Amino acid sequence: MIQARGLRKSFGPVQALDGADIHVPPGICFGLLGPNGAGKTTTIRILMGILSPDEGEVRVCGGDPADPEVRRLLGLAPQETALYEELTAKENLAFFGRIQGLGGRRLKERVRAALELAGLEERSKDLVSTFSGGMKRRLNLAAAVLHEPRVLFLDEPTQGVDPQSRNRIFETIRTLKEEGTTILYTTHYMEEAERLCDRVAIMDHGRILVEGTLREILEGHGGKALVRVEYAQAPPREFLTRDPLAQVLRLAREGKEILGLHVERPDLESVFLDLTGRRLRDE
Amino acid sequence: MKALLSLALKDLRILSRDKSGLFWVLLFPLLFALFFGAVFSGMGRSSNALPVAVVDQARTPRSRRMVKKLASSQALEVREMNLEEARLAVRRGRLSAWIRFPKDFGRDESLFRELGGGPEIELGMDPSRGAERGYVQGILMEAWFESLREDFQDPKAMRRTLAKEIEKVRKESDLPALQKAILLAFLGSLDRFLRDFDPAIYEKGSMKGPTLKLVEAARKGKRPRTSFEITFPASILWGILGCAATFALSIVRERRQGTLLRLRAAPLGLARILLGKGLACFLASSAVALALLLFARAALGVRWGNPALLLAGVAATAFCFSGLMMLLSLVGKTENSAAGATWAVLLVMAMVGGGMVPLVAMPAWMRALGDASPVKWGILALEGAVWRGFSWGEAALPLLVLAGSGTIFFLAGSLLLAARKDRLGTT
Repeated sequence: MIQARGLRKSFGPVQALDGADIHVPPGICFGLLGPNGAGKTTTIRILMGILSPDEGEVRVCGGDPADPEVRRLLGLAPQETALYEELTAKENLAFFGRIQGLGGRRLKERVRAALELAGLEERSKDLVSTFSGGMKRRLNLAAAVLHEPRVLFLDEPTQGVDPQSRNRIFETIRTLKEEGTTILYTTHYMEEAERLCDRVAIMDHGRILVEGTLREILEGHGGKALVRVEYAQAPPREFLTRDPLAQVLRLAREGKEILGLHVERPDLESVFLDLTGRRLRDE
Repeated sequence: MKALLSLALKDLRILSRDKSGLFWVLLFPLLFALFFGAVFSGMGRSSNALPVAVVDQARTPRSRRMVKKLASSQALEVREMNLEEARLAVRRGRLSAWIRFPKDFGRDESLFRELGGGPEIELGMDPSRGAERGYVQGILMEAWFESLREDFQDPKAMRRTLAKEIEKVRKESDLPALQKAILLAFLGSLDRFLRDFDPAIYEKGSMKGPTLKLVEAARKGKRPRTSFEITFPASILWGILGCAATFALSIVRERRQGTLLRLRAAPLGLARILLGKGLACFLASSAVALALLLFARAALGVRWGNPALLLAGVAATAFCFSGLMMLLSLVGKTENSAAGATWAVLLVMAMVGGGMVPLVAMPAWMRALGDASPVKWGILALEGAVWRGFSWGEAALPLLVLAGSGTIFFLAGSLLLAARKDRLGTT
């Protein structure tokens, strides 16, 4: 659904993308992870056809994303809550629907559906300026899916959002995925990628460091799991192992009285640490 | 076309909810027109004549005649009072000048004294009204010579005065004999002239000096009927400047809040997004101009002159400043810096283009500079339709200048925006 090869893009002296390759099959949620400044937003803007790459090729839905006919198949929820604060929720959606080519009864239906998706039916006639951050984020996402795009780009859609709105956004994304929408999701929250994404690419300094399913990446770069055990009559011990279940069984067979067991599996955070020597959130 | 209209209508809806924006595009121009219209029309005064105090300490027939003549002048608004009151009123700026006829004015009707420099008249001026000094002096001298002319129109009275003068010269012992003889010969000739001349001949004008004929530069019947016909075209320009500034800033705001990115992600193309902004600015500018014109016509009786020409003037001016708006949207990165820079450019244009001070009040070099300001051509196009009585041929120059410069501004702004498209939609 999305094919990009050898993407390079610089802004003056800053090399934002340095030969990134991305392949996203149809109907999956693809996570693009990386710290701030890794090149995620630039990648999305190139894949949307908003920016032209200095080098490289992009095909989305089988065509050039700068082509208006291809653009109609794409949706974007930008990192900023890109809404008109002086307009109501309904007016915002109606406007974004019209510029996507919707009109008449279809527009009305889609606006109603989008408001329902965002859980904002009762606030539809309120100005966006009166909304909380979470409500704006939900509306931001609703505006992106109004025209039922085949490919949806979500650029850090949960940034600065309360847990309730975050869960609502996750539910929406799952629903869209079930409906067959291909989603490219950028975040620097590992747990979000683990929860939502079928495939993940980790990005840093404009390059894709690793790409695959979660299992593949964790197995390849996650390192060993940590097993911590607390005994009744001995000091606690920690074990690093690739097979935590086997380690726990071995400990049980020792016959010592165990008060507690704690298993820490490798996650994407440790993958990033393994690949770059830095922690994601340190950036 | 639907998407283009949607873009424009969205901006107009946002403008209609922006109180500070509405103030600058509608209320401020209206206040401007009303305030300066009231000032120029001399509201609160019986006329727009210069208010002066006359202090007649002489109370002689001649001084009374002078006061009467000054009071009959349309150029002065005369108020009689004593010297203290007059000085106080001028110092406080309530009156522009005082004219004092001293006690001895007109008492000694000696011909010699009057021929030898005349009586003294005191003119006291407000120092800030230097430009009007010559104006009042001229009116005073006109009244003085008018009173002398009237003396000659009553030969009997003049001959009585002359007889007294001849008697005085004859008795004068200090005068050299030759000078006395010359003077008596002259006075005798004058007496004979006054005895024999026919005033009717002079009244017919054969021996009168040149008469001054005042002609209006505007076409016959085509002149501003009220000062509001002058101030409303300028106020429309202020409304259009407000629209240009508001929409230029809206591009910067859209860039900051990310909505420009969302527009760019839609299947519109950058050209259509920019055209939509331009269209919104054009429609808002035209609507503001028409609202001001409707108000001016309904409430203040401002004529529309040639309505078709007026609409063409409004359209050309709105088009020109919609193009300029595109360029102005590039001048700052943040809303604050863009607002400052935008208004700085527009204020200079208004200043040199006659939007603040009428062009006629400017020095020649500044008037020449005004040719470079679209504000000047906008005002000229609107005034041409409202009261200057322009034909289409005469209006062609300002209309073409506005349309041409609007096209250049729009193309330059769009090209520069397109050249920076990588930065459009990024914060």
